[in-house]
Amino acid sequence: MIRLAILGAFLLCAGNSPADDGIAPLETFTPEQRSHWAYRLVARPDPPTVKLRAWTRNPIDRFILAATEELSLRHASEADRITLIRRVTYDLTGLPPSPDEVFAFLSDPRANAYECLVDRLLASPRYGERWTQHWLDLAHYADSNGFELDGDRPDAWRYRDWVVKALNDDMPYDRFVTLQIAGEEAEAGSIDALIATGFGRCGPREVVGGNVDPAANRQSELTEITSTVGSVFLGLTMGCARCHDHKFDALPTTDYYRLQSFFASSDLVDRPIATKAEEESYNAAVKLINEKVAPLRARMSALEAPYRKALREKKQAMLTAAERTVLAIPDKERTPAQKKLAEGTNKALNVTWEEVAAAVRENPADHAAREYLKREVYELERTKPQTPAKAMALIESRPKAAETFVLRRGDVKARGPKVAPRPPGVLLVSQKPDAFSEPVKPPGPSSGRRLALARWMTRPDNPLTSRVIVNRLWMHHFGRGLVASTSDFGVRGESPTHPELLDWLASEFVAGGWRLKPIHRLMVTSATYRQSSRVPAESSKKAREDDPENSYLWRMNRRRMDAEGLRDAMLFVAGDLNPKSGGPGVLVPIEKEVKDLIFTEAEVVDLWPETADPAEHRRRSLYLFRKRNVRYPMFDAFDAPDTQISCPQRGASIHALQPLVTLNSRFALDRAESLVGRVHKDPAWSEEARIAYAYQCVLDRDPIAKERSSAREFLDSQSKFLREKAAEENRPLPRTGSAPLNLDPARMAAWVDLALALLNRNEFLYVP
Amino acid sequence: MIPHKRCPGPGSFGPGSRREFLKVMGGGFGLLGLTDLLQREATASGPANNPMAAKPGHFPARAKRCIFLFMVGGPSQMDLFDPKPVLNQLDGKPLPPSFGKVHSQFIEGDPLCLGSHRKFGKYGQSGIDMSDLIPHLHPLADDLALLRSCVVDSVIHAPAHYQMNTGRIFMGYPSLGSWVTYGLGSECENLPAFVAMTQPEGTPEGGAPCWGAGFLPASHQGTLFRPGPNPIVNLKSASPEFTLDRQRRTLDFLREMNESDLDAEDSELSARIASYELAFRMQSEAPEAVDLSRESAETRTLYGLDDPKTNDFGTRCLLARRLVERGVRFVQVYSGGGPVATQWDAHDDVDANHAAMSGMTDKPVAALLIDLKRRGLLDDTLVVWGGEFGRTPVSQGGSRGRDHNATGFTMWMAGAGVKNGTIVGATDEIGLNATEDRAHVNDIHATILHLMGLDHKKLTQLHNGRDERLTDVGGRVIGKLLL
Repeated sequence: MIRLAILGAFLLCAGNSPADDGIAPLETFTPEQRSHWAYRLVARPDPPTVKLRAWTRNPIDRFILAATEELSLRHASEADRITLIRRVTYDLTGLPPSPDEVFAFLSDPRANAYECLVDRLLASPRYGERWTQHWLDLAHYADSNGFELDGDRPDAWRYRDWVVKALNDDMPYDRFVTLQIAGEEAEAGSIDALIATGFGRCGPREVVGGNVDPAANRQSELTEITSTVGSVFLGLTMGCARCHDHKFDALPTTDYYRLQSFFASSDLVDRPIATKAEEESYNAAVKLINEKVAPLRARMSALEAPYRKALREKKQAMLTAAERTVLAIPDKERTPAQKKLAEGTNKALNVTWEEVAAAVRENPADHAAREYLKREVYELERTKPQTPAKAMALIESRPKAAETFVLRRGDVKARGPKVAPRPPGVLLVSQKPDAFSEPVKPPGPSSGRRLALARWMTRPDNPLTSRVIVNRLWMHHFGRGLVASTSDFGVRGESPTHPELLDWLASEFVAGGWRLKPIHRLMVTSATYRQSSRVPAESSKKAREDDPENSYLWRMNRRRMDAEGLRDAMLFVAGDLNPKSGGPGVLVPIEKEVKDLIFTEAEVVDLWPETADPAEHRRRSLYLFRKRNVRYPMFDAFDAPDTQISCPQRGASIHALQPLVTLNSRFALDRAESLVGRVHKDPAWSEEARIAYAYQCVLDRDPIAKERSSAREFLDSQSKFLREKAAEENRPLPRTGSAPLNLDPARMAAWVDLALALLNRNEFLYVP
Repeated sequence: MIPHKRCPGPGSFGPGSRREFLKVMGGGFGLLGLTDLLQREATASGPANNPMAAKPGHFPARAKRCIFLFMVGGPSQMDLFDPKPVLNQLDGKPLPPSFGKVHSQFIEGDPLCLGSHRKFGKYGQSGIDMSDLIPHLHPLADDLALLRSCVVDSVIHAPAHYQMNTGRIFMGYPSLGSWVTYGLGSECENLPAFVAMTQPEGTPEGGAPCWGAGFLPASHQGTLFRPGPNPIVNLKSASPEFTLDRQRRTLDFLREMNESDLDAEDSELSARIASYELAFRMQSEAPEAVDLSRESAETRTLYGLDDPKTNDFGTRCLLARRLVERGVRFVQVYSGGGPVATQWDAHDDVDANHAAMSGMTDKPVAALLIDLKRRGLLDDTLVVWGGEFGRTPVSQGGSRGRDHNATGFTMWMAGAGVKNGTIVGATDEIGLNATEDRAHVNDIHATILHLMGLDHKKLTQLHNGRDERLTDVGGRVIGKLLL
């Protein structure tokens, strides 16, 4: 990697020194800086001529083949149909195909059976759910604020559902971007557009009392949104330029603050969107509950009163002579210092809930009564309906647009020259002179700044927006982006393996009206995508040696399911998945150890009030409540991002905590049991048929002869083992929950082990 | 088209070669460090299936492992290690303006000085100052190096927790323990390399990000250990029916299936198969590691396990010793979390709060040092003690309590490579601001890494276009703390 020596190489325009009017002068850029591939305009290349035309299915393949032909890399053969349907179904919907779907595909005689399958999957509502998860990784969405108090965001899910719908509707990406950046400026009055601005609200936010410097707090909000917009939409590591000129890219600090200034007047607003009727019915319901709670609280206070009194008296007795003297002086006669001391002393006399609880605990009857009252109050309060709908928005409602100053070393106290909203200069210089139009104030309270930014970003000649998004799609389909650093298109990022293909896809995307589904379709119907990922070592010796990382895609990349994909797939193959879409996040049961980690200083009966309906616990992972500081062990183990910062690409680590989750957790055991129930639904089936069906459910294929016999042998020996063990310990074997009652419990228990083993097979976890 | 070839050659996979690491990880098709390690180190260094194989640092290390005793809430320096006679004279009087403004979370207006009511003494041959709150530590004075000039950038718990753990006041960066295991791997196959143990009443305000791996591979995140026979989440099956001998048989069947069509060159799938064996061993070894009944009555008494006051923290300290003994690289033990009553967060009454918190921790901390020493472990184990910040010399609103102070507080280190019996750094006459050898948290981290054989400037990971490191753009090894 050549590090370009461009440090500090920004030239200032002559005759425009910052001293004149306090406004930072614009920079100019050297030809070397401007020449970085990602800053140059997208040129639409013609697909190259190739020798092995017969191999290609669409233009993508010609770009891929041209490179492999040049390097004499031999391509893998096309994958079999089962592999194809597993791969493409997981890629597009995040779920495995059902045995019926596999059967239908295998027996589809049409020449375009695969294309029809792709069209069906793209039209499935599951598509939007799957790709929303990818988008939320970038937005670093969660249902709580993070930091110390980690307060819940009861309305965050509306943004998540907006993304699902937008993707399912194949909303053109230029509109998708515009609404998320400038929803209320682009479409005044639209509730959906308001919700879409929730993009800027997804990240963590510190909410805490005390002497927090409002300017520093505000700056950290702006930093969050500026860095996120830069990396997600533009693939620019703008964050690096916040404290100093970017060390490697032609991004001066002034440009960082110019980008930030688009958001300088925007505020984090929770705007009510409920109808009057909804508000009224909510208030009525709450009033009713409060009326029931009030007498319980009164009983609690009455119960605690003598304890509080005793505790306070004890504290009063402990006062020092000096403190007593100060308290004895009438308030009016106290000096300022005495006033402060008296205040402090009174604070020391305060009785805390911990002290009350500890004192009451000494009396078992009172303790029981207090605990009972606490629980009653809690049970009543949790029946309160969802608070009336609000949109978590990032919008402008200030009378006057805020000014932005360059902050030296990012310090709010070290103001430098003033800047106005403007996209990064190094990009503007490649574009037409009119590429960026100054903000035009729309009617209403907005300045139009964010809309101006969105208009610039979604211009067909923006060199980054289209390249960045088609590259993200490519990464999710092929395992690695054409530019491997998907959120860093700067000089320090990876250079594209296939620059012409990237440009062709970007121009095709824009020419097709910025629609994502046709680009997905192009990618997954290409011959490149349809290759096998397993190639015998002998036949690919040269390719393995010359391109061991498969940068040139001479075969397909196998991928591990991600955390959410694994959970969803386990639910799906066990026949447990609840396909319900949308709505507030679900609180599923969590391990006690995880629950204990929820921080609070208050006395709370249940910090993780599980969603009551157990059917809700089996919904897709996208709909789980994501509390930033509470991490589900399964997601944690399988590399789900921590939602603290934008995550462009997940890792796929391998470590011993993963098997602990997939072997030992309640979730895994429940899935294994359900799967056993699923294959035992029909009492007429032979064990042979059940084994085959279990394979079909989990791996979408029939077992081979060796697998059949080995499964049978395992069932025999494991049931014998379990039977003997139970006899030895002189206890009955428990029944498997979901299996028919007339079956041998030892055999059923062995079946659960078989199911658990299948769910832990590499073949299940990996997308072929 | 420009030929775009990747260098396939073998290279070191040490902390220095992050580009290679990134390429492997960013390769995207599920390849992570483990498989790379398998390929490159299978022949070189022992068990090929250990994802956290021990790696050499940048230079020979004094400390092979580290125990970080984290006092959540912010212990008061002028009531424990940093006596301030001038402050005692000013008790109850307005803060003289010459000391400057107090930056704390809650204090407004003209604060009043709050003297310390503790009795101080000088202990050991080196004459280390300590108060009567920590009598068990007095005889160990000559083992300690006090650092009295610590500085962090936030006076609010969560951001300060993040910074003391990750070098930044934000969430989402890799923690000290994960950087250490990223740099050095683990010496222990059957236990996690980085373990965190929290107060049972609750987590610190910062929560799980305090021991997170940020953008480092997930295998470097701290694993939370709970007291009792099941220290790790899901270590035991959720149903008691699934005994280990039963699971062994299931795993043999699984292994047979997984190996049936395994490509010998497929190191990733081999690694995954190995991870099941590792998990199985962990299930039998972790309960042994945390089984305190194997300790002698004398040791249990030493740690205060027989006293309800010290039992809880004593248990965590004893566990820490058992874990480092078994090769766990980094153990973080938290004192404090959850309700204010169980934190060092003495806003209302510093004497009452610190008497309680010291009562819970003093004996166990001393026991840990004594025990490590007599087992020869203190020679290559680093022990660090400190909170996310200290406390103000002025009272909070005239009360008996102190607010948060980030500009001058005390931490201490002991053990491997530490210049014991020494005091480094100083605060002003009232303990408000560091005046000598200012030690920013980045410097403290650089020093800890240095003691463990890692150069904080070389231990990097490319992330979003930046070579990220624990010490951000700062960090300087505090030479006066080193032997």
